[in-house]
Amino acid sequence: MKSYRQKIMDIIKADIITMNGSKNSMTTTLVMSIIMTIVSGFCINPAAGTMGCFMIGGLIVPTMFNSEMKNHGERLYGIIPVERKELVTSRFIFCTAVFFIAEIVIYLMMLISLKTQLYNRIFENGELDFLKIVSDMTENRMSPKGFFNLVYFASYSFGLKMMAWSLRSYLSDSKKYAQQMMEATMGNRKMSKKDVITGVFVLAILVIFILLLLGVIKITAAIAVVVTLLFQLAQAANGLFLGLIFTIEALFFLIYCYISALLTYEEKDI
Amino acid sequence: MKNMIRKLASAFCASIMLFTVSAPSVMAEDEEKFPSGLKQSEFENEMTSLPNIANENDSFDYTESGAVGVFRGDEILYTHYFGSTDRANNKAVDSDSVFEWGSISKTLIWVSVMQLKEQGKIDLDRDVREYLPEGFFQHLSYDEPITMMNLMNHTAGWQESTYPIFATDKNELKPLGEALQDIEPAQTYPVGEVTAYSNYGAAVAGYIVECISGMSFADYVHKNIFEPLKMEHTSIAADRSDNRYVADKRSEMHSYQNYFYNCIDLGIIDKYCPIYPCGAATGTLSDLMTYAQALADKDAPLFQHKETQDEMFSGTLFYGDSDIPMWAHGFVITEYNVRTYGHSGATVSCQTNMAIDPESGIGVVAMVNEPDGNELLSKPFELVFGNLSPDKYGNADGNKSELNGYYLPQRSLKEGMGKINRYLQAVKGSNLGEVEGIGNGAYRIVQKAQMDGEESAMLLGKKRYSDGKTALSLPSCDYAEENFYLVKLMLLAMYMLTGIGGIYVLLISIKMKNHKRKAALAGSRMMTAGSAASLVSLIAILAVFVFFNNNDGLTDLQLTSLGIIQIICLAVCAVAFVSAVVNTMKAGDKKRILYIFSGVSNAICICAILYYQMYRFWNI
Repeated sequence: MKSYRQKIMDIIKADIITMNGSKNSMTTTLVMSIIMTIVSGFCINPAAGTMGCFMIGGLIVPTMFNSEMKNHGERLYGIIPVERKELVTSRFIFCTAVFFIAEIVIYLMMLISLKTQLYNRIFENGELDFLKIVSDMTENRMSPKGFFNLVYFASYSFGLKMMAWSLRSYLSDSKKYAQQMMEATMGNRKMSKKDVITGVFVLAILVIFILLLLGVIKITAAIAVVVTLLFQLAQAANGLFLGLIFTIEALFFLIYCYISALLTYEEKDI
Repeated sequence: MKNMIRKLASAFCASIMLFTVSAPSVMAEDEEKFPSGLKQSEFENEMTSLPNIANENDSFDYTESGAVGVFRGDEILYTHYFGSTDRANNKAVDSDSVFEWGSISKTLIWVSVMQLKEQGKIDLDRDVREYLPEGFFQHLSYDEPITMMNLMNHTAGWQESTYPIFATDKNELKPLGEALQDIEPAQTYPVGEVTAYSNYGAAVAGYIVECISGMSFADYVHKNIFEPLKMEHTSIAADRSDNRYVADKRSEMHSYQNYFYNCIDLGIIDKYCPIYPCGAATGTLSDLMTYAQALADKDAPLFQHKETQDEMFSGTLFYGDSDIPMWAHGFVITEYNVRTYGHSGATVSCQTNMAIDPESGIGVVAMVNEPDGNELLSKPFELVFGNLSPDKYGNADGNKSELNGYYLPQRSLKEGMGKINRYLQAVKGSNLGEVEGIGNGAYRIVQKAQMDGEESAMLLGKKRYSDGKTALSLPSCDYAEENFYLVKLMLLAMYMLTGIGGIYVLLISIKMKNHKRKAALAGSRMMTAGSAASLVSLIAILAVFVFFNNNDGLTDLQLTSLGIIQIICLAVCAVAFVSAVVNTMKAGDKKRILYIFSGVSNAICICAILYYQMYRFWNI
């Protein structure tokens, strides 16, 4: 009888095989994204490089389960002796691990970029050094590295949430998720009622953001308190405190998605 | 030889003639120069080229709105009116426009006090309780006497008030003494040790003027300041009922705000200050200039003896142990290229600034109908008086150092549910740059202008409190070093996270209920209740800031209800914590981690509520 840990490891191994051993694999896309992120971090600005953090968050699930989606591989788990709970757990562990490895690589690379400042040699004398400009704008209350950490961790926590949400959606209804992914890639997706609601919601947030910028809606005191707290945290330990907070908050969301996926998947008809 | 002598004599005569002809013109040029070195014409050019003035007819929507005046002795050198009092109806700011003085009103208190001192009716070093009705103060924590000098230097030990200092309804206004007793803040610092600018303290001084003179403060000011100076377009009463012209004009004035170069019309914000001596004066630019001219006049028209005015402008509080003053009997001393005396002010609708140089008799006043920002409040002052040169107080004493640690402003809430705000205003020492000692605990920070690279200096003092803490002193307040600031900030951040985590716990509970799953954990209801309490506590503390912002303070009802909510949350979290601890001991390995997680989050919430005194609604 295999232990729980062994079973989890076996499922992860099987997923790696499925991910690599198919002509439908999107691993190249994922690797290319990481490379592009690193290149832009070195050539433009480390802050630009952090854009890849949430890009990767959105790419991980379609990359890893592309073959399974196309070949309806999930039916396999209906017949082999694997508990559904184990499957959900293993996939959350696997995706999170891949995400963290990618993020750590990007972070280390961006730190090297920040140190070498190659981008300042490409663009004359650092006149376009976004991090330095922001640091000057805040009257040096936030160092360039502190501001980089702020952008990086915000981007990374957003990426982690995107990944968790994608995985939850995939495990809850893989057919629908696959169809959505396919249509999103092909560009001929029909709008469902839920999509319309999501669209309206995103649009409303965008409008509110613009109205906030124009001063039509004044930033309320409560938001100001949260923003001030974030700003104070970003000053401390070059933004690493804030990074920790962002990470914990994103982990809350990951746990929520994991439990949601677990509840839905256990009742799902495979 | 004769020729030689003749040539020398003619050259000598010519040089004398040249001197006599050119000397007056050189002197005339000198006369036209301001302490900054700018000529009057150059000053006017600089004023018209201010970015938000020059854009008046340009594509930007926003232009500065207000009025500026400059004088030398009796002579008005410059007055200019900018922007509008009502853009929609094309009403420009003009000489008839009235603006709220804000805290410049406090100088009326200090002048009144010095007048009473001159008459021998008050001793600045005597306990003010001797002049006030018995039992006037209800919340004092220290037995040391509070003197008028403490009130003038803002060292009486009061923290910032939690209660509103503005009322929207005239009918809410109470007599000054009663209004002061209603909003008495906690005395959180030892008397005479900490500088923490206090509206309450200044208004108490105004009430003392009432008590000694036997007339209302408004009547006293009219009789002894406004009438002698013929200031007919200025009011001081809380509801502006003492000057019909001002009340009418004020009720027409809109306030504006620059928001990314868009001009936001804030409408007519007509609020009233119940503790009115500290900030209710309202009037025209010309009246404020008349008042400032009287203060700059060496003949001291507001006093019987000019020595009283000289005494008024003598230092009372200094940077460190040096002889460089920061306060002079309630007047703020600003070190430009010359030393100036004055005050700035801000209300919910206007801002003002006034500075005079008694030596040269030059003064500048600025009034704007904007509650935030505005270059008119600083630029004319820099142009007239010049920036403080880094080497004005001699060379640095070699004591160069970086400031370490975090410093908290003492003009804040040290106790009570607004304590959080104090921790959000921390200043990181290293961000101030390198400080250079200039002797006796005074320091300067040299700043380089980004545009032209010109260096200017800022002064600060260093002192040590009786509890051993180091503080940086500035005129507005001290900034005291806070030990373990980052740990305390982290507690606050973790508290907010437990609140956010509470949302997820509740979502999971709902999800499980929808899927008809029973909780696998014993005491899970208590865990959910603890999470819900964390969330409610977070919402309640954010509500404190929302209410405070909307009303410039909290009412008794708001304070009490928010305090009680926090006490309930504290109790729920405490029970949830105990439940988590008990279950941790009983549970197996897998489940133990969830109980530990629950226990830790409840413990964080309890610690934060207790440390930041979110529950405390009394005596603040």
